Parts: sequence; C-alpha cells; structure tokens
Amino acid sequence: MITVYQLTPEQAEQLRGVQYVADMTFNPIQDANDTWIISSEEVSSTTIDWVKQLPAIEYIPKETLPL
Amino acid sequence: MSFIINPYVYAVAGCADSDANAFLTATGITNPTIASAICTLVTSMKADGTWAKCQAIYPFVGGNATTHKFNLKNPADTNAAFRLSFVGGVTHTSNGIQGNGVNGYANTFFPLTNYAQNNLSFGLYSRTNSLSGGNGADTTGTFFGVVLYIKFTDNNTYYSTNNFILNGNGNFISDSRGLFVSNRLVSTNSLLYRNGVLVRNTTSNSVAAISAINMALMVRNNGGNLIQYDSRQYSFAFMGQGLTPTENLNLYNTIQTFQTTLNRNV
Repeated sequence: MITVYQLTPEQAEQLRGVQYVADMTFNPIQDANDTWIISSEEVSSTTIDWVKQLPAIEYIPKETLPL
Repeated sequence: MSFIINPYVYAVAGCADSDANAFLTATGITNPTIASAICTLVTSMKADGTWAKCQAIYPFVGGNATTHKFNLKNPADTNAAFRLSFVGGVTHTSNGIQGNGVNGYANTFFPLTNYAQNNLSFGLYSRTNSLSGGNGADTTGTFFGVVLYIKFTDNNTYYSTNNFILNGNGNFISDSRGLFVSNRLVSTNSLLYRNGVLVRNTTSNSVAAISAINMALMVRNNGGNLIQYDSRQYSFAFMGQGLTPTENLNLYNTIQTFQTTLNRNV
C-alpha cells in the first residue's frame, strides 16, 4: 500500500509549483477518485507546517490504460 | 626555485578537462572520487567520439537535487541548457534519482523537435529490476515520439524513436537493470540496446517530430499529459544523436567504468 496525503482543490492550487526543498517542487495530482494528493516524499521533506498535518490516505492510482 | 601552478587546472580535484571542471564547479562537488570519475567519463567519451554525439548527459552525482539537475554537456542553470527540474516525489541519493511511481518526475526541457528524425538516442542506466512506468515524450493519440519503458507492468518492453510506440514491443527483457538505449540511425529501423548489445531491431518507419513537448524522466510525457510514472532508480541518462554499434558498446563500457568507480554499478 502506498500512502499519500489528501489536499483540497484550493490547497492543491496553493502548492502547485512551490519549492518544498531546494530544486524540487510540489506536484499535486488527482487519484482514481479525483481526490487531490501529494506524495509522502513531499510531506516528509517540507517545512510547511500545514502540509505536515494533511490526512494520510491510501493511494488509488487512476486506471492505467494498456499501451 | 619557485613553481607556478595553474589555479584553474588545480581548482577542482586536479582534472584538466574544461568541461569536467565546468560541471564540477557548477555542482560544487569537491569529492575526489566523484571528481575523478567525472573527469575520466568526459575524457573517455571525447576519446571515442560519443561526447560529441550527446546533447544532454545527466551523471546524477552528488546525492541531491541541486547536483543532480545539471547537464554535463552544458552545466548552466537554465532551461535552455536542459537543466533538469524535479517535480513531485523524487528521492536523491549517491546512487542517483528515483521516482515514487506516484507523482515524481524530471522535466528535461529537451523538446522532441530537438531530435533529428533519423539520428537519435535516449539512454537510461537503471539500478532496479522491476515492472514500472515509462520515460520520454510522445504525441497524444498517434503515439509518435521518443519513449522507453524498460519493462512495463504488462511485462513488455516498449521503446520508440520517432515511430509508433507499439511497433517493436514484446516481452524480451528479463532484467530491467543496466544501460538501455533507444536508438535510430536510419528511417526504417528502430533499435534497442542493453549494456552495449543490440537486443531489438524493429522495422518501423520514422516520422518527423511533430510536437515540441519536452522529454521527461521517470514519467511519460504524452502530449503534455504525464502518465505511467516510473519508480526505478536511475544512475545516468542521456539524449543525443544516434550511436553506431561500436559507439553503443564504447559508451556502455565508459558508463560502466564510471558507475564502478562510484560503487553503484549493476
């Protein structure tokens, strides 16, 4: 199971393109339920307090279409 | 008696090659083992002609995003120099870069249109034996571009060199570790090398690049949609002109020596 962290659409917009450590930026994406999420790597590395308080959820990827 | 020492030559760990020195200066790397490995890498590639054929080389040394982002061929901190931009969850260690298979990738700023239609290569040195996602870029719908899935979740390998990605796919790679190079030298054939050895020769005609979308690492940039994130660890990547069989073998040997020096060879 991959753990990710849930965002509101507004939080996702707030984080998009923001640097979370030197030379690395947040990348909010939507899971299979269209819930906005960021990864555990982003949450563990950032110093932004409210990001560290985000609820953890199981990552459900969007369906991968066959090539 | 007095001695005059060239401060430039001795500024960074004793490497006399100006390109190697420029990279070491840009990254701030002073570790003598890494500096020596970079110096040998550059001088070896120049000696066998593969240096001139590459437009972007990412040796992933130094262990963090700041050192990993630089293009050895042009270590300027600009998009135009094809300096990487890391986005999402990417782990950086002394072994290289590793996506998380969720949202981590690198934008190379290297547009598909930068590739010649029938003279191109895209190489990745993987340290992970797994089923995972893709790298590169192609067009939506028509799937023309330069893409490499070393071994996808369906067990098949997919690669393209300005041709349709489904041409040439199959379950013919048993171990996804090593240096994999998608390569094209003629209009009719698309080649895949592993560790300097040809493993696939597909008859598939090329088309001229029809999109300026950027090549990506650790994800496939499908017409601007990022799909099928990759979670392998990579210790080297490059993009450039097509390589002959001899050049493919020479480059593999050079890169393998580089990785061995850094104690991260597979």
